[in-house]
Amino acid sequence: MTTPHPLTPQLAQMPALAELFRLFLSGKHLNRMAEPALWAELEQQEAGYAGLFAALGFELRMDARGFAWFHNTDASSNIGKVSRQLALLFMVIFDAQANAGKALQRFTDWLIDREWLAEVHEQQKDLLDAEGLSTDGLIDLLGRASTLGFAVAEPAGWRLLPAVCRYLDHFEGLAAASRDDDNEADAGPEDDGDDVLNDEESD
Amino acid sequence: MANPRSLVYALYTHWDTVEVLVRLSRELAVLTTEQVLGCIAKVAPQMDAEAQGAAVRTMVNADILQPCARSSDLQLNAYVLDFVRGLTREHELGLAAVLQARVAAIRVATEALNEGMQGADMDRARGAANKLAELFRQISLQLDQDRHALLELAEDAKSADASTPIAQRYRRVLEAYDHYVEPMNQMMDTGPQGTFYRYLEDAERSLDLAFEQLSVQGGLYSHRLQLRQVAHQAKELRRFGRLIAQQCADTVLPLREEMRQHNALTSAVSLLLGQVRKRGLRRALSRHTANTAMPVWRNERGFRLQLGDEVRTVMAAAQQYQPQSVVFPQDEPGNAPPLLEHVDEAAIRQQLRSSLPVDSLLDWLHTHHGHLRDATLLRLFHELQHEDSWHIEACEHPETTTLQTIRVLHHPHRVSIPA
Repeated sequence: MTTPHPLTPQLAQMPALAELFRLFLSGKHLNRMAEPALWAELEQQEAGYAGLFAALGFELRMDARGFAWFHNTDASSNIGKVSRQLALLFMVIFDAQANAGKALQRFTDWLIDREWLAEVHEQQKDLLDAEGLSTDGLIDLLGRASTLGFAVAEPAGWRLLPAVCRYLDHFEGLAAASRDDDNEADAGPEDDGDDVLNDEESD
Repeated sequence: MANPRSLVYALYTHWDTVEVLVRLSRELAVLTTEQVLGCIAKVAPQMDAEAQGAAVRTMVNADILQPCARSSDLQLNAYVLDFVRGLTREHELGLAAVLQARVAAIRVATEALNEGMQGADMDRARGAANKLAELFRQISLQLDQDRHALLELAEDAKSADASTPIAQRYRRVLEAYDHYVEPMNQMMDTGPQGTFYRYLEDAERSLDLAFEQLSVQGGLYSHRLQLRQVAHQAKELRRFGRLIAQQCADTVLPLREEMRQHNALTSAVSLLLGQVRKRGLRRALSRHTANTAMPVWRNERGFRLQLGDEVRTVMAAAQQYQPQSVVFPQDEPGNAPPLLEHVDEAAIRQQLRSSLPVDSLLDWLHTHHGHLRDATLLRLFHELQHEDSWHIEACEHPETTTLQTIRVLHHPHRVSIPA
């Protein structure tokens, strides 16, 4: 499966190969602003790394907004659950910041600390309780997010990293799909005028 | 009225359809049969037309759907509508006036309680306490439903298309603020004009007082317990009311102040949060999209093995390995002898033939082949006496021959060559 021969000369120019591979293999996202040296290394030899990883059966994806990851379409159900909970965490964080009038695109500037998380939890208490997330649960999740490269821990709290854009893109995709369904339903015959997910918007 | 059990069971079996019908009923008060069939077809596309018709009939028979008067149209049973809306958090914002009326009723019930206690009319006092409990339950239910209705209004406004003008987007929220949140705030005001807390406090005080009085006078335990439970409900409602008022204000104020940025992302997040609130996280995120996917990853943490020093010892031992010779266990003397003994029968026949005639076959065998085991010897004896080519006759007088371990009483067989 490996084709080392044509790659051999390039291997000498990939000193961080082992480190990058280990990082990506554990499911982590590499962020330019968190690990600039590794990012520079990856960017210089982008084609080489992508080819090598592809030969090993992994798909390296790099996003122009400054993050890279091993793309995957299937994962264990446990990881699916963690991913859903992370999605919820980011949703409530972004909703709270939107309510506070912050510019959402500059999310990497926000400092998230325990007190603020407790406040967020208070705001969305019913919803988070229903999903079994306490304030401590949110803090644990941020720890999880840090090991996965979605956030970085600082002495005073956490900061989100650009990899969160993966979730934000998906949120917009989901909302667009919801609205599409809704529009389709509206355009259809009257007896189809309901939609399982979205007609609460249209009353 | 249909049988409650069959109604609940039909609700259970057709829950998906009923959920959609309830949501549809916000726009259409009355449904035609075709619309209901359309809903069923959408929820369960695998059903054929006959099964869909049967589902509609089941729902009508179970009284989930009721035929309207003077037409063939259907409408949802009001109980079902209320129940399902409550469970799926799809309530409409209630009327502030209803809430106010209920709060005012607290005062009436409190007065009745006081009068009952003064007149030592225990029935009246208990009736008033029951009335209070019922009022508290209704008020907290309505507050909870109204909270969800208000959250939904806000979510709708926040998730509306980013290009709609702000006045239009927030129109319903602002209306709700003026018609609901503002009166509720007035009612919940802790100052002199707020009625909610004042009445609740009065009720609480009366209940506590009545409880004390009963304790001193020595009322029935069940009566005292009832009063205490109602008093706890009153305290809980006070806390809950404060929480709801706070939450409603938190939800609506950012919109009213137009603090909130409105763009594709904020509207998407609001829309999704609304779906999570109603359907849970898993269902809200289960939709498939064309270009994006839920981030997932494999967790293949490469792990290393480091060999301990013990392994070196093992390897050194392996290098100087010498096979140990193990002595195979011998047969022990007491062991049973092999079942079969090797006998050269042809040679014995040959020998016998050359020494014919023989007076006693067994004695001859014993003399010449006494080393054979008794069983083998007897087997040979039996086989040889059936030999056709020789003349064999048994003697009339039995004789005894002693073999190795056994003694045989037999008629000696004389063997000779036939004449």
